[in-house]
Amino acid sequence: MTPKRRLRPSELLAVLTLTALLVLSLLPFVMMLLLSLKTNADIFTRFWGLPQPARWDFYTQAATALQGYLLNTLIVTVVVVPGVLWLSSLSGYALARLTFRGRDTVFALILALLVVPGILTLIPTYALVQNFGLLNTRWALILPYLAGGQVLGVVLCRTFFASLPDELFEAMRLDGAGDVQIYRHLALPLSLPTLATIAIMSTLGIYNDYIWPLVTISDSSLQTFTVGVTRFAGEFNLDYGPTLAGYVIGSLPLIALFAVGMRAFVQGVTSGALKA
Amino acid sequence: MSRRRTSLIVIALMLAPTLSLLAVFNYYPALLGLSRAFTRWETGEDPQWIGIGNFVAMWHDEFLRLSLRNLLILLVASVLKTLTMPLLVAELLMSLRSPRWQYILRTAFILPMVVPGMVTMLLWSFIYDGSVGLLNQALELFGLGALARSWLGESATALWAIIGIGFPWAGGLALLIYLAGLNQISSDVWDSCQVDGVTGLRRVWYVDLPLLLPQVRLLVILTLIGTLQDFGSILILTGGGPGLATHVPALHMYFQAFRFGHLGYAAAIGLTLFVAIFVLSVLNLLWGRRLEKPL
Amino acid sequence: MPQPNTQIFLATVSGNYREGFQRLAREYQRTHPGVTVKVQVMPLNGYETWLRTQIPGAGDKAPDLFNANFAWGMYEKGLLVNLAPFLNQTNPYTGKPWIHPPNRQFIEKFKTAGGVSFIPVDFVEIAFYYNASLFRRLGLSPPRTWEEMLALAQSIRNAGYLPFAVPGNADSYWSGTVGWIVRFFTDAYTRHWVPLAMSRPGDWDYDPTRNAGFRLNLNDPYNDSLVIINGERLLDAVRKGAIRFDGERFAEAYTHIREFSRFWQRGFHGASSVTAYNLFLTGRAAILLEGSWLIGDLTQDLAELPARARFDWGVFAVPALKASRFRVPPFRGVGGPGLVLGVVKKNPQQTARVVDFLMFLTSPQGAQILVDEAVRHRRPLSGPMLIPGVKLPPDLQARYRPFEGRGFEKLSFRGLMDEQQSVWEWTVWAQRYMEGRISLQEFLRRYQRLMLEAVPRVIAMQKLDMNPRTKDTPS
Repeated sequence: MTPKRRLRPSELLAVLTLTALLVLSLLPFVMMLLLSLKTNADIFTRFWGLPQPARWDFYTQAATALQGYLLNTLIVTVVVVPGVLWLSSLSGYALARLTFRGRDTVFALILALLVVPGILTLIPTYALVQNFGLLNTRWALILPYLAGGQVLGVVLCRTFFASLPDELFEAMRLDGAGDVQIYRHLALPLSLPTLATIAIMSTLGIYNDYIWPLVTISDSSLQTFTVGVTRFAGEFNLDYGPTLAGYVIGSLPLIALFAVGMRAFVQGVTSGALKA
Repeated sequence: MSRRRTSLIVIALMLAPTLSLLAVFNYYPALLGLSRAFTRWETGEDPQWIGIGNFVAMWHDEFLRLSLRNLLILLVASVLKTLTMPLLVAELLMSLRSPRWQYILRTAFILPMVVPGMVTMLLWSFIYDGSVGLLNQALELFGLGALARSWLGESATALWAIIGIGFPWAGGLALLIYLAGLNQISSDVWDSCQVDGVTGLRRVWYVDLPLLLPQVRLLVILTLIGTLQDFGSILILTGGGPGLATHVPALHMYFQAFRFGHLGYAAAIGLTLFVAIFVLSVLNLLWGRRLEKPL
Repeated sequence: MPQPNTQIFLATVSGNYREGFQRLAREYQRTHPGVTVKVQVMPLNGYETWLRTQIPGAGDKAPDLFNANFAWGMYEKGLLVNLAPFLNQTNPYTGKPWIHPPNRQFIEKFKTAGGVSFIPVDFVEIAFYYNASLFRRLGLSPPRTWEEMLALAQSIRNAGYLPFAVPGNADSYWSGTVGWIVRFFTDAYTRHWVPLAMSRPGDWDYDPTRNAGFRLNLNDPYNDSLVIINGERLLDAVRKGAIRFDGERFAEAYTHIREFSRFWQRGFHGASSVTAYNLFLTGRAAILLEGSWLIGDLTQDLAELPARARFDWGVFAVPALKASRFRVPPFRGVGGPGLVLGVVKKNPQQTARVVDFLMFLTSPQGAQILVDEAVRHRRPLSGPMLIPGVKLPPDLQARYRPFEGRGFEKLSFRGLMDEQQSVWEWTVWAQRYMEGRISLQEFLRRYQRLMLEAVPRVIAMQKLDMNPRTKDTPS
């Protein structure tokens, strides 16, 4: 450890470079906040100036226009994410802690799905959903998200459960606990950080997906935020302010999610990445 | 191993939901994607086997050929972006000795990740806008108003504007992965570098980079796969235009399927992109093996 | 006498006529005791889904009248009343036949599957909006010919302003400003092809009242509006080269369009209609080609600008081209339906009731109520009224004039019959041509080729046997 002292020139340079890069990185988002409070006239005449007066009502307007889309995303997320967690942990547990013939084959088959890119399955899945008559229903989103989201989930859970020491499980077994109890009272509580990572990743996946809802949902009353936000601007007589306010509002749910789960996510990503 | 055997029924019940969902929505579409690529399959019609007809058509598809050039430029640019700026920021962050500042700055750099991808895209289309765009306003502020233009609206700049999205490309997943890698390098290594006078760029080049190769390998393949597949942002920003200036094969696939109704042809493009991704992944894997051998 | 407790249910999405519909319902109920008119104004969001579930599924509870252009295809499914037999009936509220020109021509233009599926109240059309304050300052007045317009554009540019704000993204080529420009140009240059492609005696869709005795008359913009075009004859003419896209006419049309584009903003291919509108609204662009629906928004947006940024504005019609090697008629309109009402099929008594209400609604006094209430509540109209005798406020009347009386396009070409692949390929090469990346000759060569390649695709898609005598439209 080096003792604490004043900034060396090289360190000063580092701080300055970092600050400059940070300013550039964040500028678009700062301007988004600033311009979201300005009328078009204010934007055209004094682009860089502070809003005068600040039009907070743009946020109410934007919220009204976007609430339907946000609600749809919320509904899908609330159904899919718990489902993904439940399926992932259940299967992950079975594949890690139970012995049966063909276990490794099953796991390898699931693992293989990680290398199947969305670009290959987009059109067949669309045709499938169409044949099921699910186009333009919430199921068109929920079922494929549930199926696709659990692939990584099962892999992560299985890896996690396999890394737990056998003694823990043996001890519970000796106490007469069955698999269901072990799963519920031992495996599940221990895996909470892993589950948090999976939850965040599935939420991110659902929230950021554009193409799938775009092609499967035609009714705007069922449409999700990510598609809706590309269309809602038309409702404001071409005003930039409320449009940008809508972008801010749409970002809030993810910001809230990260405020809660950032640590888990960062750990999950970085440790998961090293294993890959 | 003195594991008690769980009854097969319980196991089956535990795995059934997962496997049935995967069978219907993952395996079946994947196999369908492989087989339908060899059919003439128009929207609303039954597929007919035509062998390699779609692939022959792809060979003669002028639009697809022109879009390949754009894809190559995008691939090179995206790899360069991932390999430079996030690494620079990671190294600079590691050189800070205050853990608190390190943490604060790291958080600030990954903040843009929190903004939904679509919002970032729409924001950048506003930045490039020809009339009130942030970029043009900034140029005017610095007396460079003559350079102002509709950045996505001219063939000469559109592709570069797409590449410019997210400038200075410093944060995100890549930064996190580099930081994780650098954190793994034991402080002894750097201390001895210090002693030997191997510092600054020399240390980064001769010590850090070789040790970071697993991370680099991972990021390169993730970036390549992501860029090959991504067309949502181009669809939103330019629709592939003007002309074909920003057209890419994945977007061509999307148009073929969802605008023109040529599902079979689109499946063939999808399969080709999958093969490309597969080959790149295998190459990446072999690169990894070669790296590990001397150890 | 109507039976007691009968109801007419109007479910609309037209916010601008909201109060008008309510008053119309009250007036109608006053003179028709026992009839209730229920008006429901629906939000745009979900209106189409609601229609598509209610009209086939809700039986007698389904709406009787609705905005037909929000759910196309209902008529073909047999869910709507064919209004054709009613058109010549006497409207009890006027004492004259119900529908007559120009309304009649409009209806014929949008006939589906041989029937009349809606009655239009107003329509939308395009024209040039101009910054009148700027024109005054520069001593300019609206042009009377295309050539005058370009000269005027040059003097606007010389004064340091942008002459035209034009969106040029792919959306604009397909369904926006550039698409409109190409449509009115190609309509004017291809009028002489109408006889080639129209249905002839013996064809499945031949209608002697409409096609027999057709004589091409370039001086009459409505000359061919009733003529029925036979799709197979049109495709055959393209296939056999009787209709070509690399000939001298298209060369001249596209040369004019390219020359016109020299007065648009730089990088217009990246501009959406929002961007173009903002250039006009902020006084940077002098002229904007837009739809009649913009009048309301423009009035409102200008009022919100600070006083020094506001300006007077006017509208001029797309002026006629004079300098041509060919006889090019004046440009015609590319408009479409505004408020158009369809009648849901229930039973003959109910249809009679609904048609009577619709006749009231489309009588001069009925439509006047719609307009008056919209004006009183400061709601923008979407375009000129199609009902003769309705009085608009004088300033609005004057502003709508350039949108009216120009007829409607007949044959116009971007892709082949809106087949999406050909539209996209045309957009790609047209954008490259407009950017100066390929020559006119190369553009036309590629245009001809892509249209020829599209012919078999269209034939396969529409399952045509290429025999014009047989009807072979799917389903």
